[in-house]
Amino acid sequence: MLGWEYPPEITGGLGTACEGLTRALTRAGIDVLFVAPRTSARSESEHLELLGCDQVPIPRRRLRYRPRSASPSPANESIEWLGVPSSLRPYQTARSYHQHLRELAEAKRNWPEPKVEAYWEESGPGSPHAFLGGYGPTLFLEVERYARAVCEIAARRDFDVIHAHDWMTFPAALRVAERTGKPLVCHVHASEFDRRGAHADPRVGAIERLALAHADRVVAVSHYTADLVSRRYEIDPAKIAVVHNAIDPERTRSSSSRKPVSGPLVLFLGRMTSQKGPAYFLEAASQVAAARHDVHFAICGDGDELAATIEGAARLGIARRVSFTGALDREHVARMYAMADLYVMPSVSEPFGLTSLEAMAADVPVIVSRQSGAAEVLRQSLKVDFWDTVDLANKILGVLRFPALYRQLVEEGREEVGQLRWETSAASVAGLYEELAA
Amino acid sequence: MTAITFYFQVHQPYRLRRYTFFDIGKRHEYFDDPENKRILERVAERCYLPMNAILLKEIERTKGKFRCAFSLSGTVLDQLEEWAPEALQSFVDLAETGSVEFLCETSHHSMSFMGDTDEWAEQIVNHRKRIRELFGKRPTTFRNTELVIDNHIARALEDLHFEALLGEGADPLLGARKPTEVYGVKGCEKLQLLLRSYEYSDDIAFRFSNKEWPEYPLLADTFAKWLDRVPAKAPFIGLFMDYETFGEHQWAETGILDFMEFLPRFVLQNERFEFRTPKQVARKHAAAEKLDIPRPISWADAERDLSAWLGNHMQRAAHEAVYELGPDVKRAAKLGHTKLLDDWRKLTTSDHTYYMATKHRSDNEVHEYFSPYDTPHDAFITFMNVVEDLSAEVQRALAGGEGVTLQPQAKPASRVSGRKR
Repeated sequence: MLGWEYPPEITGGLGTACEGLTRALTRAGIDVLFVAPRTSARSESEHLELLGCDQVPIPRRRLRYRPRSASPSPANESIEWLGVPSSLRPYQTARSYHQHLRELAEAKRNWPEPKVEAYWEESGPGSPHAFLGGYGPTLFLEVERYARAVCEIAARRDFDVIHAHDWMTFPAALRVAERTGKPLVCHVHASEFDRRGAHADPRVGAIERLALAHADRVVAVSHYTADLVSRRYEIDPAKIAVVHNAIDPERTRSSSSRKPVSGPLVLFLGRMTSQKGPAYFLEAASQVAAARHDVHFAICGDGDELAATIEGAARLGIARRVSFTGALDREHVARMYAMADLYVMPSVSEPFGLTSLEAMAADVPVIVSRQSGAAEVLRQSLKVDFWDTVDLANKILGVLRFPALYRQLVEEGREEVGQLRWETSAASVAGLYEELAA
Repeated sequence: MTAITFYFQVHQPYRLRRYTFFDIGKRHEYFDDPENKRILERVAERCYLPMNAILLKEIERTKGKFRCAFSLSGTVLDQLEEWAPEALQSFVDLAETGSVEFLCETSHHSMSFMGDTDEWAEQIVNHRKRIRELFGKRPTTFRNTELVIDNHIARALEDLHFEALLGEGADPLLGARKPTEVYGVKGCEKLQLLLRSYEYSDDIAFRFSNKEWPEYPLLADTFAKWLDRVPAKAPFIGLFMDYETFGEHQWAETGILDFMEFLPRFVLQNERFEFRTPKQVARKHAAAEKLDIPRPISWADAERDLSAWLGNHMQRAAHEAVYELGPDVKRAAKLGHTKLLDDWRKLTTSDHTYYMATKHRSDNEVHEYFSPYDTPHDAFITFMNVVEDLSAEVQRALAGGEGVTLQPQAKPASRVSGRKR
């Protein structure tokens, strides 16, 4: 299994999803070899100057994943963990984003297009013309380096199915599939259209298109995503299996935490990128704030939209009602859920949106945008179109004003989310493996 | 002889418009008139007009031997008067044949018996008068909203001088008894209870167009043969269903209209069968037994209870919020604020809480089919916002404030003529 995030090294839902899925798969008797670009050994992975991907030594050491809980879970015994040092970082903070922009400008001035020796030539089909535009040189080199490392590993190991999570691992997966002839499953947690909308990077788009076309089966985390990739990349819908994400109930236990404010607290939690819709949250918040003087808002997360959102809160005159926490670790996320009276996920495009499930599991009512995969599985949530901020404000006020609605969402939401088990998702994936390995 | 007793329910609610928190105190028009008009016109065209024409033709062809009963809610009567008077006229035409019985129900298709029994009686009395004016006969058979019955309801109806009551032939109620007998109700002297034979009724109302059903496609002669399986001594077979079954819930393309057109002749080919209206059946047969109905029974969902309308927190809160407002609304109406009473009664229509159901089973599809909302929670928020505005308007009216409509609701100038022009 190829993935570029695994807890505790996570920046979004992907790592959490990989963990939940692989745990359940191993419980179902499937051996998983998970290859990630970097491990929890942070120091080895954050050197941006590591551009010479040809020279990357492939570590042969085996790292065993250590869960945070004191007692080792037997499920981990059958996950083998191989680390590849790399600078890969899929998501950015506000600071790194600006640094990245500066580097990019620098790179354009000083550097020629770095030599990536068009790995397409090595791996067969594809077009070198896809390498256009600017997205920073290091990311693509890291993808390439990761691919080479994975090939090395694949040559030395035996396996039945290649399962790759998201585009960064797709070049590696394609190459391994071609060299070994093993069946390939491409798992789409987020497509380039979700991440960047109209500003999709054509190189990433090309990788996704190629990999999904060559994959024996495609797994999408929602019908929303399945529909998107099938339309954008002209993938036969019959080849796509929708496997919804789930939640590990033990991991989202809510700790008790006292609210620092006296009135209701409405929560936004996610990377601060335009995809997550913070601007719409803010717009709705200002309408709610005008209607009720006791409501507070917390915006938790970091990203390229953070500065603009803070400025927006000031411009709308609600700066005193909105708290910005920056990015939070798991412990603090749990504390935020414990404090919140309502969780809002106003994403513009959201393949799934695991946080909405986490909030529900923590007895927090949720409002999700209809433009999300989570909206497909959560009956006991309120749904809005992300752009309809009047409706969003109306629904925020509805939850806060009507105790019957609050109670309904909490009680039935808890029951519903309790039924979304990784075992179910893993069973679907295991079914695909069986089909392919037969 | 076994009577075949068709009763068709005709009802449309006043669906609410999009109404957010920010409309409270600003807009006092709550109902989605364009949408309600669109749906009413569509149903009239697909169902009421063509089906009424078929039934009229069958009555004429059989020289009155084909008989059936209708119950029309007051809200659908209002909508027909305003948006499809020709369809209302076609119901009047059916009444004139003498072969069609028109039943009584609550004027606003409400669950008022669960919230305010005085209001319930008021809605019944109002509606009985209206049905008599429109269709020429004072109704003697009652069908409660969604066929909800229990001992108390039956007793109250007897006090209102009804002779017969329709109900669901639910398994928990009947046990080993047959739905085809005429029953009485515990605590009532004379009130006759006629129950729905749900297997046969649902063959037509739900399964007819289901291609997965082994019996698909169901033909009229086959169905007539099935009816013959009922023991010869059975007094009647109650085929009770939504009228919109024909042409709206199941489109004409499914053959449902043709089925109904041909059914009377196949039924009448068998000499043991005759068509009879509920009133005729109730008058002819003595009650086999008095049933004890301690808890309400309805014809909805698998549970056959009130959970389709009052099953969750939101539904109960919405129900309570509306009925709490009742006494003040009536005081305001006495001061001349009749629009407030009119609007309030439209909010008592049971469909509003039906849209708020959060059941997880297959019945959910039925709820979603009828609901104008994306989610039950949307239905609740919209409804509660409206109730809040209405409540504020009522308080303003009682305080003698401004901003309320004093003139009665505008009615179209040309009302459909009653029986006998």
